[in-house]
Order: sequence, then C-alpha cells, then structure tokens
Amino acid sequence: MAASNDIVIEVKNLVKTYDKVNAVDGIDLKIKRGEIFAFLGPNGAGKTTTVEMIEGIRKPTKGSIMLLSLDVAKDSGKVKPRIGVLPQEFSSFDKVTVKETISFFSSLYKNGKKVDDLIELLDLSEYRNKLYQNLSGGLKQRVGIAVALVNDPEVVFLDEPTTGLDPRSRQDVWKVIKGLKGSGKTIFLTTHYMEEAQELADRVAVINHGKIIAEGSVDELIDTYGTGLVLTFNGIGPKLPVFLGNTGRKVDLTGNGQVSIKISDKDELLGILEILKGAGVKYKGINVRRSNLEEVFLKLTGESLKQEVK
Amino acid sequence: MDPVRIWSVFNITLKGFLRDKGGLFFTFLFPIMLILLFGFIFSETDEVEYPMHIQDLDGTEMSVNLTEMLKGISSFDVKMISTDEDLDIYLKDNDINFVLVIPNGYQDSLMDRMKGDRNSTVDLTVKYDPSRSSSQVKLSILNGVLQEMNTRIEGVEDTIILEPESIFTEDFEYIDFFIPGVLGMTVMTGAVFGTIFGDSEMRQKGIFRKLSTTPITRGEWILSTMLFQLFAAALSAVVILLVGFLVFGTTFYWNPIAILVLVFEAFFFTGLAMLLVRFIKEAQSASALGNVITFPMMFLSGTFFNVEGMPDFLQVIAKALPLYYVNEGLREAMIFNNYVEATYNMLIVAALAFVVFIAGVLFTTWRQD
Repeated sequence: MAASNDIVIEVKNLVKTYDKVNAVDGIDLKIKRGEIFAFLGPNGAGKTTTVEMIEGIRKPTKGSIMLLSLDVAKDSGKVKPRIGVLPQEFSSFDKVTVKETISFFSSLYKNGKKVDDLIELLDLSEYRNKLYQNLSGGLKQRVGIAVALVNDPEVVFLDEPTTGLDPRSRQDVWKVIKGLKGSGKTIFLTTHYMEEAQELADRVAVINHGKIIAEGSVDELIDTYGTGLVLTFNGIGPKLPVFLGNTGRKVDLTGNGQVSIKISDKDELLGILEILKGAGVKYKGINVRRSNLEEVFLKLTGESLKQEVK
Repeated sequence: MDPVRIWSVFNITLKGFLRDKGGLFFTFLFPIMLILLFGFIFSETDEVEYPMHIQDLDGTEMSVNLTEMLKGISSFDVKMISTDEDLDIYLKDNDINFVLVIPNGYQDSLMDRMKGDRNSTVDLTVKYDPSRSSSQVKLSILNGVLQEMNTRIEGVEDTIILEPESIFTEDFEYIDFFIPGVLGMTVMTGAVFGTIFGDSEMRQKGIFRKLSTTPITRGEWILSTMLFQLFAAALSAVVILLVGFLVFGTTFYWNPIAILVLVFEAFFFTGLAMLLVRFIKEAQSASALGNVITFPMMFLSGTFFNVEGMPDFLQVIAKALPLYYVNEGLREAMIFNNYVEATYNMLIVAALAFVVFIAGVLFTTWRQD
C-alpha cells in the first residue's frame, strides 16, 4: 500500500536484531512533507540504527519502510536521487577543497545542484578553496550539509548535525536548517540536544531501548508529560531553600544564588509567595516558566540526555 | 556503470594523491632510490650468474675444451653431471631446468669437419624448461659462444649446431634484470598501499556510508579506484624507465604485453587490497596489512634476485605468488621480447585480476549488516 502524498516517510513495525537483542524494537513512524521531525534519544537507544535503515544503509530484520511512496528495500535506486544524507560524524577527503568536495558529490547525481549556489547557501564562499582538513568543526558540518543538499533532495536526513560544535556554530547550523524548512524540504533530524529539537522541530519522537516512548509536537509532549511550571527565585539568602524544603517540595539548587521548585498552577504560586512574605524570607526576584523538553525526557526515560552527550 | 561517476572518483582521488607528499614519495622517489641504490651496488661487481649443467658423453680433449670455455664465461656457473646419471631422472630429482649434453663422437665429428668433410656436423642437445626466462638467456649466451667457435673452424659455418634460436645478443646485466622487477614491485606497493590507506580512511571517516546513500555503485567505485591505480602505475613506470635509461643506459623492447601485464597487475592488487581491507577495523592497522601482502612477495617473487638462486622450497612458494608471474611476464616481454612466454604470464595475471574484481563486487559492500 503506497503512503499518501502528505506522508513522505512511513515506517511500520521496524525491527533490527543484533545477537538476539532488538536494537530497534517494532517502531512505527509517519513523517509529513515539509516538517522538521526530530528523533531524540540517549546513546544506544536505536536512533542511528533506525535512521540508517530508513536511508537504506542498514537492512532491517523486520518491518517495512516507505520513503517518498517507494519501498526502500526494493527501490533504493529510485530513492537515492531524491534524498540527502548527513551521516553521523561525517568527514570528507582531507586534501580536497570545499568546492572540490561539493563538486564531487554533486557529480554523482544526474540532477546535481549548482555548486556555487550551495556554497553561498551555506555561507562558505570565504572557504571555497580551503582544504577540508583545515576547516573548523562548524565549517566541516556546513560542508557536510552542503553535500547532503547537492541533489536538491526532497527529504534531508541530518544525523547529529551539531554534535561537538560550539554554541555559535550550532546557531549557524540551526539557521541553515530553518532555511531548508523554508524551502519546503522535509527534514529528519536525529539529535541529542533538547534545545535543538525544541528550537527546530515541528514534531518529536523520543526513542529509548529501541522503542518510541513518546511522539508529538513539542507543546504536546510538554503538556502531556511535563511537570507543569517551574518557579525560580533569584538572589536568595540561606533561609529560602530550607523554608521551601520544609514545605515538602523537591528543591533544586541551581547555583548562582538561584533555587527552583515545581508548581502546578498560578494559585499555588500566589500561595507560596504569600507564605514567604508572611515569614519574612527575602529574595530579589522570581521567574516562572513552563517545563521544557529536557524535563519531559527526564521524566520519560529516567535519565538526563545532557549526560549522554559525547 | 556511469562513466561520469567513474571519472569523478578518479578525479577526486587524483587531487588528493597529488597533494599527499607521502604518496608521491612512495610512487616516484622510492623506486628511483631503489634503482639507483641497487644499480650502483651491483653494476660494478657482477653480471648475473646462471647455473649451467653439462653432461659430457664424449669425454675427449675437445669436449673438455668446450666445457672449460663455458666455465670461463662469467654468466655461467658450470656444474658437471656424471655420465653415469640417467639425465631425465637426474633433472627431475634435482629440479634442473637447463642442461647441455655434449654427445659421444663430438671430437670425431669436429675432426672430420676440419679435415674437409663438409657434411660432418655436431648436434649439441640442450634440455631446458622454456617457461624460465633464464633459459632464454642461457641459450642466447651459449649460441653466441658456439657461433664464435664455428667461425674459428676454418672456412666452415654451422659445424656445431644448437637448435634453439638466439633472442638475446647484448650483455645482460643486473640492472636489466632489476628494472622490470622494480616496475612490478612499485605497481604492487602503490596499488596495495594506495587502496588500503584510501579505503580504511574513507571507512573510518564515514565517506563510504555517505556514498552508499548516493547513486554511485560499489562496482563503479572499484573500477574507478583500479583505473586510478593503473594511472599511478603508468606514471611510476615512465619515471622508472627514464631513470634506468638516463643513469644506466638500459633499454628495453617496447612490447605491448608488458603494458598488459602492468595493467592487470594494477587491477589485481587493487582488487586484492579492497577485499582484504574489510578485515581491518582501524586505519592504523592498514600499514601492517599492506606489509603482510607486499613484503613476502617483494622478496620471494624475484624482484631483487633471480628466483632460481633460491632454495627449492622457496622456489615453490615463489611460484604460488602473483608477483612472480608479473616479474616473469615483464622480463619476458621487456628483455627478451618473447611474446609466447610473456603472454602466458600475462594471462595468469589477467585471470587473477578478473577473479578479484568479481570477488570485490560480490563480497564488499557499503551496506551495513
């Protein structure tokens, strides 16, 4: 059965077994045209194995994968010209320049995009004649993304595109990814970084131990699995954490003179502030925010993704 | 097979190669250094010496004279076989490939000829293994000696007849022997190390994983890599022959079979390296694997010294090594212009190249398990 036109990736009951252990254990996914889909999970959760099966690099033990209405197992020759892939930890030929690298990959396709356009798109003009080995990590990733776009693909797979990059380089890559979405491409983004998924993704799936444990938009996930609101006090004295602890709440000392607690709603917030005022406990300011994806993930998996980041 | 993609891989490999000082050194400078080193060391000392077995069934003064004359030729290391020996059994038992038999009546026939009997001739018999390039050399030198003897016999030609025809007339020195060996060795090491380092690095960098998501096929990649190694081999060959000519004055026959030998050699060793590189996990192991493949062949296949000078068991091993047939093919073609023997060796190398190419396409994959 062909997937509908709006669904560009449809995965059913996908299983990958190594030594009798299911690294990927019965995954179902549907990804719509034009959306950024973030695939989140700790190391060893099965993210890369799943995405490589969808790309056709790995052979599934069981299940079906329809990509652009084509069966990946049978029609990989037709699928390849229509997808672009940035593999995890991708690197290129050391002694070849940026322009030569992009030209090479472009020449592998019949519908190769203009190299100069890609260089401009990825803001690589200044580095076009530099050898790949002399580029910074951020520039290398930009070259990798350029290489993933040489065939003007309909679906782009980006496996950990910002791992190991400094914050500024990461922001640059995010800008490129947003631009790709703007041009109508479907993006399958595999990442460790919660803030990346939160910043970029239309929809998120969380994978753990080879199974999808949550799926939806960022807001949906936070609403469903979040812990409500987080109240943070700034410029606190020694009394405040003790006082809050005595109310039976879990107190999170974040350093820099800050302390946070979880609250469920506005009434609870007002109640706490009233009690503190009555008790004469001092602080300089407060901040209230919704739970974030990081906290959702922590709740779902029982582990923090930040610790998993290489 | 898409020629554009094959050219793209060739082109990008060439760019990387030309910017890699280590690769350039081993492709061009290293073989030149070897030629100069070995050429100068051996050019002043010896010509190549071949074992020459003689069975003298005549046992006369004139047959002894012929034996002594041959002993005086520096290219021959003459060893006598007793007349009691059954020659066929002796040759088999001792793995001898070239024997000159001086027949009974040798002296009488010569004397008759000198007394004016123009119908009197002497047929010397040579039993030899035509697959050995050295046999051709021995025949050539022997013919030269006998022709000189003939002319000394007054007014007479063809008194002493050696059946095989001479194909070699010039002095045969070590450098003549060595340069085809260096050619074969350089093409082998270039193809093996170039492929192993290239493949293992690309595997480690994830380039193969990336390529597996593009339309290029594994067959196109293999063919392109083989063509590049062939190109590098051709460059090496030109440089080696040029240095040999300019420094030592060596010249060779322009025999097209030699080119085919080098073409199939480059294909064979590239394919072999591609098959074996699958078994190494780290790029650091690449050089060890390269050495495992090339070192035994370099020393056992007759690159530096004639295989015939080796102990018997090593000769058996040598003949099981592909580089032996490369070296034999190149020498047959370049030194002796012997099409039959050169083609025989070339076909062996071609068959091996074909097998590894097919095996490379069948057994290597970019797709992960």
